[in-house]
This record gives sequence, C-alpha cells and structure tokens, in this order.
Amino acid sequence: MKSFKLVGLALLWLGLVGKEHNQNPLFFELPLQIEDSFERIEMAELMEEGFIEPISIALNRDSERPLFYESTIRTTVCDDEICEIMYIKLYWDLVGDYVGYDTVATHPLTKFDHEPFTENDYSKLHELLNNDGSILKFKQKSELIDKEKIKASDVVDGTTGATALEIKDEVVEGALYSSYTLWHLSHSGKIKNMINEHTEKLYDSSLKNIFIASGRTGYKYFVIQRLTDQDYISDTDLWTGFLISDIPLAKKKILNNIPNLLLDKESIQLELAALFSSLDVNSRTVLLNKFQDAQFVYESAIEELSKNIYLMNKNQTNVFLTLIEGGLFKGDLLISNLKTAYNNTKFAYGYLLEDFIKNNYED
Amino acid sequence: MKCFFIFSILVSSYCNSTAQNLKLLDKAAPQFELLSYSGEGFSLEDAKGKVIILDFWATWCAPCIKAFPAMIAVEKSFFSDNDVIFLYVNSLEVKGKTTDNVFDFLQKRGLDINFYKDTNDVVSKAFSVTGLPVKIVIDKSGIVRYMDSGFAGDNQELIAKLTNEIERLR
Repeated sequence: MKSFKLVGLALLWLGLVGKEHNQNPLFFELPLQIEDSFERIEMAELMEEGFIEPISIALNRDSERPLFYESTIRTTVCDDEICEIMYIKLYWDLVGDYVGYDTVATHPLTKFDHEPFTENDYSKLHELLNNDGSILKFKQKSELIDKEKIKASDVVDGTTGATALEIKDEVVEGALYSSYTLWHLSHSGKIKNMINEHTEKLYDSSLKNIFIASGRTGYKYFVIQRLTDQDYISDTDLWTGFLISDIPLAKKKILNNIPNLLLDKESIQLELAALFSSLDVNSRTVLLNKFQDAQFVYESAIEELSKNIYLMNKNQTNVFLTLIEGGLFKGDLLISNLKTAYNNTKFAYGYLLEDFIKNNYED
Repeated sequence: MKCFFIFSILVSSYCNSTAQNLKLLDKAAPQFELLSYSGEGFSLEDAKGKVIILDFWATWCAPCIKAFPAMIAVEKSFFSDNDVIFLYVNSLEVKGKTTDNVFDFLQKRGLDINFYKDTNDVVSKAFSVTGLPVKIVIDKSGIVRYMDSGFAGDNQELIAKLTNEIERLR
C-alpha cells in the first residue's frame, strides 16, 4: 500500500510538472529508443494563417545518422463559440510521415468540456493520426458539424450527436476540432515538404542503404524517387526487388523511369515480362507502354508476356497485339498462348484475339 | 497499462484543479497592471471602488470578435459612470503581432476599442485563462463576481447578462 502511494505520488508529480526529457513519447512508431544523447537540431520554422506562433521543426540524430523530426506545437483550436490553446509534440520520420505524438508537460489533452483525455482517447488519437487517408483530409472545418442536429444545449465539440455522421468514427469523441486540427498538422504538406528537402541534403549512400533496409514504404519511395540511370543500370536487383514488393505508386515510378538504354537489353525485358502477373493493373499498362517505347522488343519477352494475356484488360490486350504485330513474331509458344487465351472462357477480351490469330497465323 | 490508467486519473484530477482555478468566482482577483494602446496605464490596486470588466481576446479568436458589438453596447450604456471600467485585454496573441498590427486589425473591422496589451500573457496566466473569449467582472472590493467563457452568438443575452451583473455591483 505504501509503495502504491509512492508510485501514485510520482505519477502525480509527472502529471503536474511533465515528463523527464528522455522519456519516450506516448506513441512512437519508429523502432528506436529516444535517448538524451541525441543531438537536436532546429531545422526550419513554419508560420501560417491560424497559427499563434511559428511551428519549429527539429531533427534528432545520433552520432551516426539522422533519426527523426519533431515539433512541440502550441496551436489554437476553435469552434463557433470558443477557442482553446492546445499543446502537443508531434513526431515525423525522415520523409515527413507521422510516427507518433506526446503530450507536453503540464498540458494534457482535454476535450472541449475540459474533461481530460482518457487512455482510450489517447489511443484513438494516435490511430486517427496514423491514418494518412482519413476522411478528415477531404473535409473543410465547416463540414465537421451537422448544423441541423445542433440543439441549444449542445457543446459543439462534445458528444452530442451533432458531429457529421461520416466522420464520427474517425475522431476522438468530444474533441472533434482538436482531432481535425491535429490530423491536418500531422499530415501538413508544407511540413512534409520541408522535412523532405532537409533530408535530401543529408541523403548519401549510407542513408540510402538504411532506407532500403528499413521496410518503411515512405523511405523506399524516397529512394526510388532518387534512383539515377546509373543506379538502374548498376543495381538491377534493387529496383526489381521494389517492383515485386512495393506499393503501386512506387512500381509505376520505377517502370516509368527505367532508362531506354537498359530496356533494350533482352535480359531486362525478360525479367520485366516475368513480373507482369505480380503487378497492379496500372503498372501493367505502364509496363506494356514502356515496351512500346523500346527500340526493339525481344521475342522471348513477348512469349513471356503471352503467358498472362488472360490477365490483360482491353487496352492492354490491344497494346500487346500491337507489340506482336510490330515484331512480326510467329513463335510456336506465342501462337499457342494466344490460342489458349482466346479459348479461355474467363478472358473477356478473347474476341480481340480471334481476328488477330486469323489474320496473322492462319492460312 | 495499469500505470497509464493511474496516470490518467491523476492527470484528470490535475486538470479539474486547473479548471477550478479558472473559476475564481467570489475570490480576490490577482493583482495586475496593464497599458493600453493609447498609453493609459491601469492598476487593479488603484482601481478599488470601481467595477472592472475584463474581456480577454485575441485577433485569431473569431468568437471574441463576434462578441465585441455586444460588449461595446454594454460599455456605452455605462459611459457616464466613471466607476465602471472596461478593459479589452489583448492576450494569447499571435507571436510577433505588434500592438500596431492589432490596432489595424480592429480599425479594418470598424471596432473602436481602446485595448490593453497583455505582455507575455501575464494577466491571462494570473486568471488561468486557457481559452478565449473570457469575460470577468471584479467588484469594487476586488472580488471576482462573474466569469464566463465562450460566446454563442446571442448579443442580447450577453448584453443582458453583463448589464445585470454590473448594475448589481456598481
């Protein structure tokens, strides 16, 4: 009982005066422990309409490398009736993606009725901020409340049911405007750009390798955006690896950026053709268009692609047939695959193949 | 997890105490001094025997600005009474915004207000003001008799509430 009281007193002290500097944040997604030895470098300031003071963004790094960015923010949260000042510490990774938040000493988060956040509210807030595709992204502040539902007794940011239905599950109950303000700060395009520009200055082969090994989509995309023609030529395993495992946007980016010099190689064409079935529909279109741009398309690549005709949409099938026509390919495997696809009842565009086979491969 | 729960409860009790601080009702107002944009000084200590109305506001606070016409109407109705003093306290203002900027802001909106600058937010801190707008009425003996935060947009309601309060205290 005595020790319980001591723990209680210690926690009360933390609640009153705030946390020790080296304590880890409430939520932090990066796999590292924040330490006192980290160097904290003020990187930039951002001042915008609606801010009461500039947001200062700092880079944290250890002796070897940059680690993450952070900002202690004091901002206003207003509804139609009242404005409050909210304090929060936000964390971003090295490419400006939100990774966590913390409360600021003596300023716990509260709802508009001054009730403090509960444990669930804190978790819900992190869940909300972690969702970069939240519906809040597309909402104006004026759309957060269903004005028709407001009763005279309502606290606007409260739990009264006036919150627009489609966002009700996406915000912390009773803290609608705080949730909205914090989501837009965590995912601010301007902050992300500032962070990216700063990381760009620090980017070297060592950081590149860390990004590749990180497993973080944002980090890999940062690398992909910066691949040079020489990188494509000298490190085929790297970009083909990204093509297999990464997000559609990254695949599209890689396919668009493969230098023509490389695309003229048979081994590369064959490797790309073999990846066709693992690509998303847009990347498949980009790949086929890329083949159209190549100076020369190898029969081996066409044969490889022909194994997956049944996966092509109408436009892709037409592009593929143009590729065959252009190369006057007549290999047995190709013809056999075309006929198989034509006879595949599940392939909706078999009819496109009928005339093609008749005109090109039948007497 | 348990610790977090206990922590939440303790933070909760801390927050409630903060909220209570905001309600200084029927308690002695903290001493403060202010300087208006036009250069007039004000000291609570020297204002004994007068009813003081404090209106905490900032340029970024839309409900504060919305409430000004009602506040000005109340001020006008007590214009001839030298023992009723209105202080529009510009507090929690945007960093870097000068008093000239604030003056321009009011001029553009046609608001003729002699505002007082709360330098370093000293006065708002003394009254534990964490949100805006906040209106406070201090009686002739320096006791806080009225505190209200927010403005729902009903001018008549605000005029009636404040007028009654001032009439009661003067």
